[in-house]
Amino acid sequence: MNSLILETQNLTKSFTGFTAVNNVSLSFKPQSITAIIGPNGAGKTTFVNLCTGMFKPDSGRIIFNGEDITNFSPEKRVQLGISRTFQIVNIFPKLTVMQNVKIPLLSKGRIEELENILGIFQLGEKKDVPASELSHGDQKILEMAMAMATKPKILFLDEPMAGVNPAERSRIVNLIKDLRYEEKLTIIIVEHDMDVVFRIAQRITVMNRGSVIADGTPDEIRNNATVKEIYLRGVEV
Amino acid sequence: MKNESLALILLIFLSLLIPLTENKYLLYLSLKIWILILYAIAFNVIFGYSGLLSFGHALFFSGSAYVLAILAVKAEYPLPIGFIAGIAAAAAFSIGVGFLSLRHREIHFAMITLAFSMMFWGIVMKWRDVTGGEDGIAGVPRGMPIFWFYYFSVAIILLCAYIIYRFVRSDIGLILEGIRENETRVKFSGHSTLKYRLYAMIVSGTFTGVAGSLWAMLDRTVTPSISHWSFSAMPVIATLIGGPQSFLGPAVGTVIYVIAQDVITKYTLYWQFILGIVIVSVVLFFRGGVMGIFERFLWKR
Repeated sequence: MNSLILETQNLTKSFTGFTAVNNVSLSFKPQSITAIIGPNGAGKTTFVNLCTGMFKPDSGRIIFNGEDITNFSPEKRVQLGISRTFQIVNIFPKLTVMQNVKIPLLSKGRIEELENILGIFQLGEKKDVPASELSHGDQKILEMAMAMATKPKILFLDEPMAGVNPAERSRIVNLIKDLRYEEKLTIIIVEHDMDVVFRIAQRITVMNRGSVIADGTPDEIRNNATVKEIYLRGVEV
Repeated sequence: MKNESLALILLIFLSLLIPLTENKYLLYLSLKIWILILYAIAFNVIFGYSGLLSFGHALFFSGSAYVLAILAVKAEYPLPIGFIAGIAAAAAFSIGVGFLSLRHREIHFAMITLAFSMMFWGIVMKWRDVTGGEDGIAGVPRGMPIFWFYYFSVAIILLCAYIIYRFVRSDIGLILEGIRENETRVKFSGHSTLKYRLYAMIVSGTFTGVAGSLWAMLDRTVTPSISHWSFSAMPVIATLIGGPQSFLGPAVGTVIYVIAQDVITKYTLYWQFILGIVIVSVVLFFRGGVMGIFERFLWKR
């Protein structure tokens, strides 16, 4: 029972006209790294939003470390150890890099970790720069630093590579790998870059039209006929 | 930055010389400006620093003034008790209004705060036995000669302004800035944004109450005009003129507002017409207000 850090049971969320997440039951082991892939509109981001408290599900339950957190606010989930980054960079653009990291640190009373976090993410030299003046890749990295500042047990990364150039991509990949080992993190990553997904994920979950259609090791997914078909169809559409 | 501090210290020093001139008119005008500066700086904790437009700060200002006047004049309590009770009442009002309004944003927040202050205005107008209705309450004691009251008030205002300054520069102030810029990110950083907004409201309302109590003692009367919604608009306008993004912006705006009003009404009855033109041009062309222009000019050099 406690070998799972996060479990969703029959999670469903509809928006006017369509069901974004349909009866999704997934479970995640501690210190695992799972990638969720699927065509646009598959429900990946909505699933992340449900797990992190952005929306409440219409039905189903979310269990974190044995506790039902389905109706918890985002801030309470962060306090418990669930943190995230967003698909579109979500930082404080006018505040300095240091202030950006300070705000999440304050919620856990970990302000003494400031220099350490800035160091891990190589943001020390830029700490007094307004976040809006960072490169796009650095903004993505800053957001990861902010997510890590709350010392999460589980980290959701929603398309960390979106809009990032290849050089910065490999930096982010290395960061994710390091984080997982050094912080004993569980990571759930939504990503379109298949190269990145197959480089870091231990397990891949494929979603399409709100449902999970495949779930397995990278090798199993690579050879899954349905997945291939859906991905090809997705490209055509 | 150094020049700014020097200019500020010089201005404060000059204003401290005013009672020595024995010019009553100047003394009243100067202290009125001081009190309204505290009002605007306290208001800006909610407006500029938390990004919420309150249209009901007259409630905290006049609430405190009325409690002081009722206790000191009608109930004949000692003045210090009235003074402290007035400020405590403003704090209590800000907690109450805060709880009921801070879940809302923008126009909704502005309308709820306006509604509460209008309710209070209605009570003040109708509950004649206690508030004196339209006539208000006359004969508020000052407890000391006006000469010393001037210095007493300025000392309290400077102390309050310093406390507010420390508040907005504190970690709570940083979180408030974060909320103004990106509330979602603050929530996903593990903070209850409602809690921090409530802190801001309490600080803002309580110090507005200090200004209101001082006002009642300076004026020696409280009348419903300080409960009226137009009195809530005053710090909004002063802050827009001075610049909401700067700590001293509301102070600069208040000085301009009060002096301009005083001077312009001597020459023309259309003071509000000219005020309107100023507000429109500030909002359309100079979002940062006077301090914004000042900063831009300094940086360009």
